[in-house]
Amino acid sequence: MKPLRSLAGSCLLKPVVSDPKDRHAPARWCTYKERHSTAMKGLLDDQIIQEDAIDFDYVEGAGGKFVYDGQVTVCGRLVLSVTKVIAIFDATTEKGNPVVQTKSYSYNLRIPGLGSVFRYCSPHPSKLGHEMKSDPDGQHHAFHHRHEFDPWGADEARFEGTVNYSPERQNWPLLDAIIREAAEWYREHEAAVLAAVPEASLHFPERE
Amino acid sequence: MRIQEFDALTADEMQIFVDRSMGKPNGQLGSLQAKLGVLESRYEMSTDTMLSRFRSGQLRETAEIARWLVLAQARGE
Repeated sequence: MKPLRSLAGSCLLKPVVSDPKDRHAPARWCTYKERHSTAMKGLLDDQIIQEDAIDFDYVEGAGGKFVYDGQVTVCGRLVLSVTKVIAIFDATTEKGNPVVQTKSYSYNLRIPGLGSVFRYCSPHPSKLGHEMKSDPDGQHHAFHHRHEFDPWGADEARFEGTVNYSPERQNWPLLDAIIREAAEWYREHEAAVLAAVPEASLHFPERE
Repeated sequence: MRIQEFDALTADEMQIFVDRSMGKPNGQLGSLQAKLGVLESRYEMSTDTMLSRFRSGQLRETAEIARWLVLAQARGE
């Protein structure tokens, strides 16, 4: 596995995906759904997540797209917002079980009322975007990328953060690996998070 | 509809979602349009304007803008 390209001022992202097989490749819907359900059940069983509130939608007349959109409570204090578009590649060969693949995604981890911790994004429709100190040319927009923020930092670290990106799609973790990364981050920052979010009363008030 | 509810769906029921999604654009994007509408109302700009401003660097990539970009791609951007 190639290391992720590190931009000035940003830390090198630890590799999360160790499986040499391409787990991002197109798959039958039943397989895709089963992988997701199994992973989320494992996270619930391990008490890493407490609430899995991700909704499914199909997009009518959009040429074959499903949407996952919702939020997951991680370690009782953090919220991971999950939005992803799943494209249908082949719906002709098996009834109710098309071949699908994730087309785009955004997974944002935040401490409610304080700020974001990190965000994984697929490429955006822009190479420029807004100027960032850690990526003044906006190169990261063209690639899978990971933003990292300091929720307790000064404005720049808290709101702009730093970004890592990689042209290698395979370098990017699946949702369950990201949730486990969030739990690991929580364990390292538990005392500070508990001080910031004393009550486990997350009912996703920040989204309509 | 929560993802967990899918375990109860038959292949015939799932095929209905597939057929509707695979159909030609009909201007009825259902709940996706509602989600886009909430964001458009909050930011007081259309999704097209958001995309234009993002591409030109006038709009910073926040968590919510990143979500909006993904939902816009679902619409067909």
